[in-house]
Amino acid sequence: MMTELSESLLQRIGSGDKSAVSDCLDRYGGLVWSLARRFTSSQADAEDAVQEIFISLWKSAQRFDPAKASEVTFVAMVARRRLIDLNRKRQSAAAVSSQSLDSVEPAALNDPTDSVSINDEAAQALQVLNELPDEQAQAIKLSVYSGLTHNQIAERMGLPLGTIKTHIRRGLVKVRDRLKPVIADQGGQV
Amino acid sequence: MSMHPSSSELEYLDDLLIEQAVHGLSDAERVELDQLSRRFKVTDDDRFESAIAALDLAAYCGQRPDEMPADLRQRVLEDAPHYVTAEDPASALDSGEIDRVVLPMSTLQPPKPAVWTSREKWFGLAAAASLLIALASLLGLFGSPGGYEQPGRTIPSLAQQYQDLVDSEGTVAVAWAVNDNSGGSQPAGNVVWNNDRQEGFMRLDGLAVNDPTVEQYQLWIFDSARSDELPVDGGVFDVTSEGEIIIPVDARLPITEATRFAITIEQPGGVVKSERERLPLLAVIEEAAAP
Repeated sequence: MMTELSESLLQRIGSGDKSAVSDCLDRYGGLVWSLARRFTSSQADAEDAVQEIFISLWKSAQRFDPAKASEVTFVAMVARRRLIDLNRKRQSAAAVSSQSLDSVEPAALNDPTDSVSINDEAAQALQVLNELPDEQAQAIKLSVYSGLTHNQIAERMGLPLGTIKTHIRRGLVKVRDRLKPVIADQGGQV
Repeated sequence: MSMHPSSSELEYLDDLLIEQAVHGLSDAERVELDQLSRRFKVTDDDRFESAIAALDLAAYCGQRPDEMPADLRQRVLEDAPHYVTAEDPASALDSGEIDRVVLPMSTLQPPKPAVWTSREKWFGLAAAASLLIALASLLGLFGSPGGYEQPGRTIPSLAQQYQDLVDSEGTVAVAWAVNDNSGGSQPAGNVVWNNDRQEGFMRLDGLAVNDPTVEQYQLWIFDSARSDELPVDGGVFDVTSEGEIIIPVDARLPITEATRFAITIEQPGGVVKSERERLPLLAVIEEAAAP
């Protein structure tokens, strides 16, 4: 079960506490595995990616700043960053797999306390997305969740390329700006 | 050049930061981001990355994550002692693990005191969970793979978008002229551009199919407001089939007045500044070049 702790696992890992590694895997292993599956096209690639992501996490744990993002958001950020790098190396930069959309469909919401996203930042991000004009929200979903390029989104939505860029920029600026007070309000906790 | 960025430059900087966070940058884009960051003395930040990470988490709203395979977990555990050490934080920077976060000046704000609150753990969990459930229910965000489609809406093809732009007031069209036919082909077509809409398309027929792992085509837009030495990157593209194709122009900076378009052949991912050693097509806009 995901729980919030007063002491950050990444801060413990950053200070060299190897005992925190297992706890970190318990807490974030499922999330990282799910993200890796979403971004890769095979089990083997996903497993390689997970190993690389956790190596990146161990190396960057000292730089985790709870005043800037919650721990789970930091983990998701490092994971996406590493997955992008790996995909680009495989010359498939936009290679969110074709089954991505299926993979992010919600499961039954019967036990939310077990979910990876019990996190104010995720809730706020979702809320901002809901408040955006339809076309802005749609462009962001196609970009972030489906991995489509701006050109592909423009073609799919039937809008000029410049309009798509503007929609995505304006929408994500709103998400970004909304998250800052949330992070502060969490007191830096996960 | 002024150290004060224009709004369009800041928007472009944000576009690069967003692209970096969502898809990653090409080498050419990375150079551009570095140059803009240095030029405007941008400081570190990763707030777009945080925002997109939060959206990633939201995608799993109320969803129990898959369990990591036990053997994979074991491998990660065995790897960890090699990397979990009490090293100097500066070494993390040196390692290149986190080396690419920049903040546009538009987002720089005076530091504010953090608001630290101590909330009960389960109260916070319950509140957040309730909010997520409510939001997920309201949104139906991930209801179906086709959920992004708008029922009943017909999405115009590139050909229709091209024609729509051709029919728009203020659009100029100019035919491609073969500048270098060392490849033996005689490509034809035109480029259309609308300055008000900052939108354009290339219609190309007969341009040689390229192998994107070896080389790619890159469009350049010459702007009367800029030096001819520094045309604006109009996007990297591939020709994947013979016959006529339509490619949207992807101008990386606002164009004041386009005067010429050139297509060069560059390394995969394109370049920031072309040596123009291979320039197969050129299109020069003359006055009153209406379609």
